[in-house]
Amino acid sequence: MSEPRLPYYPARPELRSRVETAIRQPPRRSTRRTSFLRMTGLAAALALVASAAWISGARRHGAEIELTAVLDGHLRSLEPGHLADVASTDQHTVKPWFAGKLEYSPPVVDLAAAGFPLVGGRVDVVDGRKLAALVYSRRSHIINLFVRPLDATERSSSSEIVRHGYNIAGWTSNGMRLWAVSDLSLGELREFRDLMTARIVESAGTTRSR
Amino acid sequence: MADTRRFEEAMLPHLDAAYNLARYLTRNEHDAEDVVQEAYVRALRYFDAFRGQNAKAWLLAIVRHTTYTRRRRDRLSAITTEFNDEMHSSARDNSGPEAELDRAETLAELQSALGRLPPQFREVLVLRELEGLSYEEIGLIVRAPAGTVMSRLSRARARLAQVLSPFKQETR
Repeated sequence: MSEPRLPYYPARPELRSRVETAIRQPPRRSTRRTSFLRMTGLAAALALVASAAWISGARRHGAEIELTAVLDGHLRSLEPGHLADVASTDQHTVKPWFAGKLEYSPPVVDLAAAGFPLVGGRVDVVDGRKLAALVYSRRSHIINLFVRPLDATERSSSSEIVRHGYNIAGWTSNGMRLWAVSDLSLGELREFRDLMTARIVESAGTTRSR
Repeated sequence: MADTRRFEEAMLPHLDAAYNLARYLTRNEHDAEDVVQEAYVRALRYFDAFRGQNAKAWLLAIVRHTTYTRRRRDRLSAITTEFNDEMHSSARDNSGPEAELDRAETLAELQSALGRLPPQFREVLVLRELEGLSYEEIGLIVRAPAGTVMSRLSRARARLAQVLSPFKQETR
């Protein structure tokens, strides 16, 4: 009686040609990571000789990639079971959950009183780096708030973008870059952003003096 | 890119090994092919760092890494299905004369048993049994000392054997 053997799966010929095509002319945007690496590599090489104007152009490009990535992250989170890895309306449950999962501690504030209850949080990977994603809701709308520390060379900025029917607000506050993505109206998303900023500044300014 | 030819000569011979590993880790053809393509593109990008050591181990390490980063990215939680002792012990209780299964059934059982193992066990089994790599080579790929590879292998085989009795898993 012979032993059952595990089957060996050889690659189909189609895969060989796919791979050959991919490595002979690397696609420009085959994956987000690819284009991000190429972009930063290019920026690093040229920054040595480039003017400040050029650098700001590259930075805008990097922001574009991140923008696409956070919108993707938002859409993915709406798939069943992907919304939150820690589901809690309590900021004191959600914030410690991130400890050890990220190299920074994202601001987690409770905005339930203002009509934006916390739903939970998770860690997303965007362009190869981990990003805190906090989930808030308003009525039946979901807001994903993505937070990461500012890069050393990054300057404060803020923007509002509409894409595929979603509103995206990007801004910086207290050394963090934040992106809020939702199908809420721009007006309500602004309200969320302003409340969030106020609370972040408040909690950073006064550790415990209330 | 001037190095593409050198890259192809070193890496394309290992396409089958790359696909086979990806196929076992992702457990489906479509994801496996995507993983392999992405891994090759990555490997080309990092080819400067390749110092002509063990091309197969170097490539398979990238395939493995690509699978795991994609899993994180896509949250394919399906890949990790924890081993369930209760579920598998019932299979053992069925041993008896009627458990003299025909080959096809056994193979299907083996594949499904393997698919249920955690990926850390699956990868060492595939690399050892199907690629015939040494413990050191497997260690390079999964970034673990050879001793860890050995113990992982024997635990993986024990789990498989447990599922697959009355057929003994041959260990070499």
